[in-house]
Amino acid sequence: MAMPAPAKETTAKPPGQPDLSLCVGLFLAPAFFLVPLLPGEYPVYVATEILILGLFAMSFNLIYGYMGQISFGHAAYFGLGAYATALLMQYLQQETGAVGYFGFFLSMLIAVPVSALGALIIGFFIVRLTGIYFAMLSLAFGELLFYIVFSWYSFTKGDDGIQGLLPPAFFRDVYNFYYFTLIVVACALLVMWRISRSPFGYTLRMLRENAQRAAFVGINVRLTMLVNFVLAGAFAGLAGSLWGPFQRSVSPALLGWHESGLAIFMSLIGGAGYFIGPVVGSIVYTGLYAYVTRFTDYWPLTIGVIILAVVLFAPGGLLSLLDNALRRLREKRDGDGERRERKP
Amino acid sequence: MSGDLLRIEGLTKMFGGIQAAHNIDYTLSKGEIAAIIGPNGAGKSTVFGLITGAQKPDTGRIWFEGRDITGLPAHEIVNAGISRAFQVANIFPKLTVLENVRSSLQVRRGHVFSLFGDARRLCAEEAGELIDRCDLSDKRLLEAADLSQGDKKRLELAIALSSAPKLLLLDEPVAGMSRDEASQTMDLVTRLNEEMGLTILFTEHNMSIVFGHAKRVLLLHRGEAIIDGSPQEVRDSPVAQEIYFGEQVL
Amino acid sequence: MVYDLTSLLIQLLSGLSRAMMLFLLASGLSLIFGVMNILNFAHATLWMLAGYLTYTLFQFFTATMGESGWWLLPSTFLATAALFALGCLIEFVLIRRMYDRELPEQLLLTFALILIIGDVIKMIWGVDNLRIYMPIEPMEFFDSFVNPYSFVVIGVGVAVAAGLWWFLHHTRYGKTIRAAVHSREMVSALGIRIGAMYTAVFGLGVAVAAMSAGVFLPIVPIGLGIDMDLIVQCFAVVVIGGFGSILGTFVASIIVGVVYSFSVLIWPDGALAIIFVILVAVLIWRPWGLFGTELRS
Repeated sequence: MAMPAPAKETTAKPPGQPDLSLCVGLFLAPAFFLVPLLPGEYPVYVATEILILGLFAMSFNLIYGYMGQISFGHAAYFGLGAYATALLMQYLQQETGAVGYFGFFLSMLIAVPVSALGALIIGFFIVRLTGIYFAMLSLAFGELLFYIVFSWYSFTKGDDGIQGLLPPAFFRDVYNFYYFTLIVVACALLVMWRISRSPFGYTLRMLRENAQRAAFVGINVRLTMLVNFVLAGAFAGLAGSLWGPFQRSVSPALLGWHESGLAIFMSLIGGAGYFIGPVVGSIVYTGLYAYVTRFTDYWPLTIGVIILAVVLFAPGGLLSLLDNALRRLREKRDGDGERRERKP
Repeated sequence: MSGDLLRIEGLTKMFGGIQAAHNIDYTLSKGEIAAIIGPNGAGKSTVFGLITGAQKPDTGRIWFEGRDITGLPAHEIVNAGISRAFQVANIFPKLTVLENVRSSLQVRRGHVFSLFGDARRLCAEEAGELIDRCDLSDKRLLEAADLSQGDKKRLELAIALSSAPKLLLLDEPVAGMSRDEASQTMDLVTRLNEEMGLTILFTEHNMSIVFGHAKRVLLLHRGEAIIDGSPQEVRDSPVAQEIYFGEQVL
Repeated sequence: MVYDLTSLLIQLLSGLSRAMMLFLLASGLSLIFGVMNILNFAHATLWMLAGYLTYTLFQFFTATMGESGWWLLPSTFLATAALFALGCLIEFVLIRRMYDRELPEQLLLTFALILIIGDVIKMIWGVDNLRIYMPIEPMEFFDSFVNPYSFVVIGVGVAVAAGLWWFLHHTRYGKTIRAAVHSREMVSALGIRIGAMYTAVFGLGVAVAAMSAGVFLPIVPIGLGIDMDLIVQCFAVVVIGGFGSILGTFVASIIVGVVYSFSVLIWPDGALAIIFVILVAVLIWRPWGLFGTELRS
């Protein structure tokens, strides 16, 4: 009888060289702040989407880049958050005619615990597996949730999605909503930045590097994985909560594996080994999508070729290209005799 | 006996019809340094696996400091005070030496779930001391994957020590080391035992290392405990000569 | 709705033909994963490409040499040969570079292929659904009418399953491939050119899928996006059956196909949800699949 091949262990490159992430982050922060100076509303609209999907991809990378497992159904928690917000907003709209500011913030906040709870229940089963089985079970749960949302018409409106979400007056303005999103995403990234440098962040790295040794150092491997899974789910939910008010609608596709694939794309294009990598990936992917689709119907072909090029020629993502270029520059400047030590 | 640190009774484990451990009784007192020897497949690694919770025994019980630890998950056994180093150095390859040790120390100090502390500051000093003690001072900023075999094993020793164990299990601590590295490492092990009073149980193929460092030796053969005595007793035992040394000569 | 015996039988028949389609797709996927540890996301897209190719060949034959359903045979054969060549080429040029990479990177590369091939299809064939109309009389079957072509489909599926099984168990090449599933080192040690074997296995896996595309063209209309739905179901089949196990893939295909077609009767919108409930249950209960072997670490 044929035997399954051993599951390939996923050990992403370590999120090393945080100074590169810091530099890129310090460059990006004012850039995002100044986007509204560009002519027209479209750039602001695109930048909002970049931020929301960037946060979603960052939450995925908490599991992939740091813990070394692939959550292939990560959109489930993004979508859960989006639906939680959308359903509450819709309810308030029906009950009171319009969503007030309190109701709006409540609708958004509710997304975080809902997604976290979903991640807790599903994660309980998923963290028992690793490698390709982890990926497959998360995919299976994700698709299951997708089909539940898709077919539970009375509650979720199924394929039609939930339309006509109207945030309170202030947030209907594209610029205001953009700055609001920027603040929310920036705060979330700051929290994630702290986590990545915390002892817990290093616990995750230990799991990624060698789960067996981690257990023999005294780490409860499954519990740690579960905690991180819930954290990642909560951040994904936060990203999802921004989606409904931004698009004024949500649809089941937000939970599907395409959406999950998006997080994987962005992380790998930007560089899963870098803290800020997924955001860079989101800028490239979402930015290209927004502008390329204006000129050609063949968007899939375009992005397909780009992905192919990145996978073949920039294995660690675009940031690793930059990283290597900088390192070569530094070496040239410092001379060849220099001792090369990696940063801690 | 209440003075026993570790007590094993009737430990039995089958692997697919093969008896990897059969009805083993064994005790270790505080402060001992002892070795388990035996030909390949005698069950040395199995006994280590059973003690540390990597596998669960079919029958038999294991007590540590009077507490029944049989079948506990690995991480709880570590937290109870038993650390382990593996035959093939088991480390965190893409972290630096310092990160390897510092993170392990943070686990011991209960920072596993600490989300907002600064990992670079916590336990950094102690990590430095441990690294110094394991002769890795000049390599602290290297990635563990880039270390030599011997350095990797010493790093694993440092990781095992960072759990502040009361009992240290070393599976062939000098395997793959040069003669110099081996004696350096065994000196370190002896110092840990003598100066810090750490109880140590190790396995080793190299008999001169076993008889040079262990105060007590347990001989296993096909999963059974044959003799448990002083190095001299084991060396002189006819049974041991036949099943162990005889086999090796042949 | 009344569930009489006849309607259940017809549903079973449709479930079985669906099962065969899944099997022909998933067996290649499973084989490729078992041997090379590569999860080929683009598998169903290549299947779809084969369908379009078969369609065009069929149109060409009927237009130049007269209408006949039998043209499907040479069309399918030629498309299968073309896809075998394309599969070998893709392995040789792209997949080969990915063996040492991590799973997400492999997924990304094969996903890029989905996007590229999908768009190429759109350029050449446009966005309309295509299907071949076969002049076949419905057949009376237990007081009801069924398309006798369903039996052809089931027959082909069983024949391919048996053929694959025979190939893997009773030919030298097949035995080598099975050995490679167990241990790559051993096969290399035997002096077999592992690179050539990988290319051939990838081509073979794609060819099996390509053939099924032709066989199914008369009953399954082909259109853009159909690959996306199919590939995830194929993953489900492969995982339920156990990676690298042909027998497991066969059994899992039947389970998924039949359960799906009965679920459609009871809860049309949720039929796919039920498939994923099964997948979740299997992964929790036996992650290595029904017919896979537990890995001991």
